[in-house]
Amino acid sequence: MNKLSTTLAVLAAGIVGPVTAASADMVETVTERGELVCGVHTGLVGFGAPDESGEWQGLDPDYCRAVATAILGEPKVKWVPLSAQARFTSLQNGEIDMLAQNSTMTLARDASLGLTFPAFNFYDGQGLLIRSDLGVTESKELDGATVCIQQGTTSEYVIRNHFTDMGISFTPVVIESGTEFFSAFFSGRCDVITSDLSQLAIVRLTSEDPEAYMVLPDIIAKSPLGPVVRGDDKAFENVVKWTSYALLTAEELGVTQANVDEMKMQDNADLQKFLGATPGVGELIGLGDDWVYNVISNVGNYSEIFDRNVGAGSPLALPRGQNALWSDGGLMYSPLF
Amino acid sequence: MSYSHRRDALRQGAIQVFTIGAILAMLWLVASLVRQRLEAMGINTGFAFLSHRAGYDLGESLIPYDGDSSYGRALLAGFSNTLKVALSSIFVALALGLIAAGAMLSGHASANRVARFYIRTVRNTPLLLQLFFWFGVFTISLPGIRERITLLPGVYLSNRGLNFPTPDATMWAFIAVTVVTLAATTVAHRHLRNRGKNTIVLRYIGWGVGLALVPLAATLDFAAFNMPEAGRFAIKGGGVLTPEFMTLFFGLSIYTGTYIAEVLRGAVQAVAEGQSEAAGALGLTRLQSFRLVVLPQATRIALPSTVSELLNLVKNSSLGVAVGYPDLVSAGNTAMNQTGQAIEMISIYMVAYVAINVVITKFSKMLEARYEW
Repeated sequence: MNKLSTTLAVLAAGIVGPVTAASADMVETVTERGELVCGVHTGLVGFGAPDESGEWQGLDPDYCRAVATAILGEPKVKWVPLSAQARFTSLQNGEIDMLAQNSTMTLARDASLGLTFPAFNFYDGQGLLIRSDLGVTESKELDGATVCIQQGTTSEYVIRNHFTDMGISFTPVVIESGTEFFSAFFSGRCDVITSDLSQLAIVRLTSEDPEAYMVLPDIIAKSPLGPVVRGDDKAFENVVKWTSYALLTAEELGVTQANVDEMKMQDNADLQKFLGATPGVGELIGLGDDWVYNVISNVGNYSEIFDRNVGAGSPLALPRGQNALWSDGGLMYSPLF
Repeated sequence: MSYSHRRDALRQGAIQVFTIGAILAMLWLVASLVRQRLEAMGINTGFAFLSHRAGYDLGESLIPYDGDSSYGRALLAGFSNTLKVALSSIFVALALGLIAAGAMLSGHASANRVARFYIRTVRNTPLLLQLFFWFGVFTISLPGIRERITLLPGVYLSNRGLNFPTPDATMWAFIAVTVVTLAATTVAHRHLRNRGKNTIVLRYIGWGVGLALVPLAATLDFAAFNMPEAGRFAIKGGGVLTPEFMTLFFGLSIYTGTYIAEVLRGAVQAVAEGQSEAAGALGLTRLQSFRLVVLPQATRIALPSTVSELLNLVKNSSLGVAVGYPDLVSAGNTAMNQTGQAIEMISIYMVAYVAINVVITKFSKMLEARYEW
């Protein structure tokens, strides 16, 4: 009997063990491991896609690099590409440390998955992409249309509510694989695909004939995107949250990757504290005082990240729009350091 | 029963009770630990979500379902789609397997070559790849609604699927009456004949009812079908086989057909040569010897392997999620994603697939018993 209970305990530990390990002190775990394990998109140019050398590039991967640098002093990241369907489970079971994969914050995801959204890195909206030759100018005219939806996204219920509210019907085709999702639209299986506006813009621009497709003017839902972490590690959550704020504050203060050394030396108390010339910015969140300096010198500030991945400096050339700083009329706002 | 026998039986029983008890205790322990851990992580547990509003639509369903229904109903709708594609594929896979096996055994060189080519190419490529291929065939290579192909009046093929007319309510009633009448007379006829009773009266009744249906049929408006009609975005009315269904249906039946063909061929060849030679010596023709001597023995050999291929087919239907077919797993994955209750959902999948496969296994046991001698 004794042997049996030992066996049972070992078996149970084997099953529950990995879950328990995931709730350890993440900052310490990442430091010991020497790299941050980050869940990213399987391939969405601008927001997370591998380059020729297999390194992930994009707005979200740069947030992984920023967090890794804040903890480790250098942008050492292990990339784990995840489908929309698998991403939250991977984070829950500890396969990844942080998820930066175009994830929309919702009440259910924040409150019932054991996860938390520390910050936003892109304010998006959900929209509809159609073929221009349909002659449709707004979503009201889409009665009876077939809509392709990607599984595991908020668009699955947003689209239903939108069509129901307008009193028109639609047929959904829900596809898990990202590639099949887009090819179903381009082959004409669906009249409409729905997703975040940024993603629709990218899909349209990277298609063979962008003029043949148009994004409808209706924005059917807000879609605030940001990195996600598990909810049981406040210290790590703070690191992710304040790294995001540091990127915004740096832009606000005019600190860039190029001038960060020079700015650190300036005779300005705020700058000296922010960049770690004088102590104070690290201790409270369990990092060294030079963490902001490291992040900016390795990754750049928010506007630099935005520009090179999705903004003017990239083929996508998305406007800053509501992702501009609050002082420029946008929504990006950082609390005080 | 001797004393030692009784003691053995007692010991056997005790061991069984203990083993089952230990397994149940372990499951309970694991379940409660997982539950505790999930609660500590702030993840919802339990099956209460099944009665909550789902809020998402499914592309097709055999049972009435819309987004206002519960998660439980969404899963049921998904399950109905799983059954639909699995059962229809099973029949076609068996038919394909039978034809291909027949072609290989027929001795015709060209038929043999075609069958072997089919088996070699289809069996040696991954099923998922084949599903993507069929999805491409049904979405990319077929034209849009406006350029739809008209196969028959009212039967359209386009990248929205195969649309066809369906009988309306009166037609269905007529069909039902006809089928029931024919079935009832056939059964009664066989029953009486087996008992050596005179069936002439019944035969007259059957003919009488059959003849009475003819003028009735003439009064029915046969144009009263639900005809598919092309709208701006979709073909409405009538029935439809969606590209997603056809992808999975073609993929599963053609893929599984190759395995069944090999099983059947192997089974026929496994029947000892002497059996058909002996049948020949008894004066049976080749066809008679195949039907009466070889086939019953081959069926017995082929049954277990054929059934496992069919069980594989049922499980493989869950690949539908990759091509947008709203089967149980697809409907459930969305629920899992919205509620975050992965463990609960996975256990529902397990129970559902085990349930289908237990039914198939029971059915095959019944068949096996028939071929027992």
